[in-house]
Amino acid sequence: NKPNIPKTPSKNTKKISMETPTKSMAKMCLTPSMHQRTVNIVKPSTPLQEARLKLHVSVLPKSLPCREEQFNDIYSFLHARLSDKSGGCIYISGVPGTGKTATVNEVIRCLKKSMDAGKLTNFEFIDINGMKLSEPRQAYVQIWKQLTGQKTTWEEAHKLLQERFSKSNSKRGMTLLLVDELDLLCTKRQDVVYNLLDWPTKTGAKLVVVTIANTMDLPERVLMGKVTSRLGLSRLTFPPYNYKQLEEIVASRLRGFNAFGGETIQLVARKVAAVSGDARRALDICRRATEIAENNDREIVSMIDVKRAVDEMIASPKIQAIKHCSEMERVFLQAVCSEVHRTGVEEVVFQNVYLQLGPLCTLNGEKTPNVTEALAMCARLGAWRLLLCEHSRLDVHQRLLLNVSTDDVQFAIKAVEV
Amino acid sequence: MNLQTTLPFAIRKKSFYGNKGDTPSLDFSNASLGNTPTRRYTPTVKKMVDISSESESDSDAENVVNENNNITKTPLKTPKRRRGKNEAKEENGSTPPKQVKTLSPTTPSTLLGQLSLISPEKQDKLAPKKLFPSSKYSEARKALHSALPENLVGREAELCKLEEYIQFHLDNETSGSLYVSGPPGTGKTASLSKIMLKPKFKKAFQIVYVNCTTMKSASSIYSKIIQELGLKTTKSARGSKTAIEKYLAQSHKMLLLVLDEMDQLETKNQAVLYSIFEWPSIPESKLVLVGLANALNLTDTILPRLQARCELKPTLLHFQSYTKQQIMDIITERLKEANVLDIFTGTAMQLLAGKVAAVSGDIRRALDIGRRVVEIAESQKMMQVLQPTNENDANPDSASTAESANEKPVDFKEVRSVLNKVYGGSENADSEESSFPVQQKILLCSLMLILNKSKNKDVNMGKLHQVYRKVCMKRNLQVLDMSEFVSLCSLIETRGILRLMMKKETRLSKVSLQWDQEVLTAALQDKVLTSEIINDVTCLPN
Repeated sequence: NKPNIPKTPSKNTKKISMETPTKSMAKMCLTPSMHQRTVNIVKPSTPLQEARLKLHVSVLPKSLPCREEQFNDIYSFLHARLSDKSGGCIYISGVPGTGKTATVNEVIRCLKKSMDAGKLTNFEFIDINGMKLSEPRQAYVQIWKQLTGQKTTWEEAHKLLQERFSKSNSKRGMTLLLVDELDLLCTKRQDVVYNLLDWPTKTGAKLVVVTIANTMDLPERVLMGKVTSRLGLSRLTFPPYNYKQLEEIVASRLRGFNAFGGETIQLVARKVAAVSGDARRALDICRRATEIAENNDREIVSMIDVKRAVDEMIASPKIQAIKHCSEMERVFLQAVCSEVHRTGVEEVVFQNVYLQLGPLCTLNGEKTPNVTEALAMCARLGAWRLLLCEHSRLDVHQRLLLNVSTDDVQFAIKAVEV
Repeated sequence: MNLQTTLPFAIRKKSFYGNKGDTPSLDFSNASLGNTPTRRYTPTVKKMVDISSESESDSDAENVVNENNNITKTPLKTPKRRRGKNEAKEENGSTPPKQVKTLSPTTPSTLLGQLSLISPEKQDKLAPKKLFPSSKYSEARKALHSALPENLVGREAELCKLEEYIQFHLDNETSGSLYVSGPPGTGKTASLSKIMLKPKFKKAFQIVYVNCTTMKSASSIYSKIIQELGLKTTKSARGSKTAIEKYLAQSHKMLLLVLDEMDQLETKNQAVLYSIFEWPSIPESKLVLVGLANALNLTDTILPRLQARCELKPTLLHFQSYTKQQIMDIITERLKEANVLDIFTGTAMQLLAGKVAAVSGDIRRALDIGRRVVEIAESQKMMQVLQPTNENDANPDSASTAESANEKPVDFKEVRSVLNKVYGGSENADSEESSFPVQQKILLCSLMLILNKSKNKDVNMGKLHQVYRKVCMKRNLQVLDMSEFVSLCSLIETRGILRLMMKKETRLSKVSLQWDQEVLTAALQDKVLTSEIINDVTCLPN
């Protein structure tokens, strides 16, 4: 380092000269960085905290339990294609939280490992996510950016990619493209999906495309015939987890901690498996249970904590809302219910409801509110979405629809009275 | 191709001969010799055999094979350089010892050098570790690719017609337009690209091939054509259009313009398509226009005005979907090229072709299923072979015998299982999984209950929730809230069982069952629960 030589002011100002925004844009070589935290994060101290850290959805486990079969399928497919140097597509579907993306990423990690070991030819890996693109055609930009690091417009990127994949180049290795959330790339023309799936069929492309979406019958339902034909028939469906698998997943993450007592995990697993079989949800409920246990100063998560967490997660706030309504609002809801009962039609008109409101108030020994008050009540209930109302300018002619079931209303009102 | 086919055979054969001794079996030697049309290097082979049999004490046949491989692969060079090059080029998946084996030493001294590198014992030890780097299966897999093939079986008539048409216009120097239609995967683009590659057309025509899906918008096709023609580019679409028309009016080479996936050029008033189809009528245009699309009557429906003028009306050519025989021919041809014809048995091929031809006649599908069948057979074989090697690692020969013995042709059974998976539909897939969450089962049962027993078949989300609630209450199950219920419905929708027509209010969105009820009951599997709920009229709203 040179000693700091003082300079004349004129010289200094020249050096400092700030870059104009366009210049720094043009540079583009800077990697984006985030502001650093000033304080260090506290390391988890109690077993509950550690368990909570382990249970976070973002923590990738070393191995994915209960997905061995799918792993093998994808691995054999990709390995065969990469070692054959031929292109191809595979379509993977399954409801959210069944480990699709995690499994594919794990497969790719394994393939990369065997590539580093020299057992497999070099391949480039690119992933795009339909959700992260502002527009389907931005996919070209993303792909090109990941291939070369340059950023261009989509037209240009598309042209370059077209050139790259249609001309065969013996020096180039295989390219593996992972397209997550495929259904978001489907536009009316479907040109993006068509191109993504048409490149692998070209002789020189050496491109393998892995597509992931939720819908099982997306190719038949949304995609055009020619796109479906190119997508091919290599398909794989991830079934939802059953309770045993969910239990194993949670247990495998908690291996080594005894933060959860006895059957607690099983309860979570059974509750979640009965609804959706979403692993994310099971993990979230477990995390919530640790928080509840911590608040109650317990060492180990007990059945009560889990029960509370489950109730919170699968809660129904509407009955609570009805319970906390004002008395007159509850009467109004009752009036709507009785009007529905009277007419047998779900949609009721405000003036008829108002007619029902009178006797109900008299029965309760209260003064009947005037129309303006009733309308205000109606608007309030509509804002809470307990009622679905039409626009208030329609006045007494507006139609109302109960957004909760009549049973819920009766139940809540009875609960208040008792 | 030659290169790829001979190399794998050698490795496989090596293990075979290693076990059986020096007697070369007929079919194998035929296979390898057929692939290597070599006269020049036969003396070298003989010489090599002598040397190596002395020094390496290996079998004759093995050496012959290795020798053949090498010579087809690389011209004679100094060994060191070649090795370096080989390794750089082929580091894909082959372990070092194998590579060294395939190298052909040209002089005795280099052979000795090679001997010192790796001993035969070590080679044997390493060989089984490699998971079948190349076999009949992988050959077949490669052969069944869905990229552009070298020769088009089953499209001879269409190719002939195409060629005639273009030849006619070439001879008379007249313009014409042709519309080629056909379902996806019937070889339209393949035929056209084959025609375009013909040297006589290549010479006589200036060929412009445009895939219209790659266009940004319909009108940007003009600039693309201009680019291909090498004209001076202009910015505006109209400017480029007039430039093309000017070019067509001048004297020029015959022009063959191929528009693939032409239906993408559809616009509101079809201005682009009309103007393109009017180009052949420009005097002295000498343009042969070929449009490709899926729809049979695209030109009639979207371009009705062309009917008015006979000279503008495009000639139509339809590509039928492939018949069973054609699909069989194609697959046989592909496998024959790769010399692995015996990988499919006759019945297996019949079944595959018959099924695909009956459903769609799409050759991409047929090839895809074929490849899938081979893949599955391969993975099964791999599992079988892995078993013994894991048990006794000391004896590597067992693995190699298993390897060669297990490479049996794909049979009826495997093809059927794959076809069932593919064409059996969703119900088939579900019967294997048997994993409907309970709440989803109840939801579906409640829907069926409404559809069967209620007078009003119009089901919306609110109504369905009401019934579902009653059903749950009666069975003492936890009732899901409406918001949860909606997400449950959309989860089922991803399986294709339901279709939700979203309205402004989710409560009012319509729910319709897409599957047949019997199929659904079979998929649900829980017969007791299902029948109980479906017949429970008390849960219905009165």
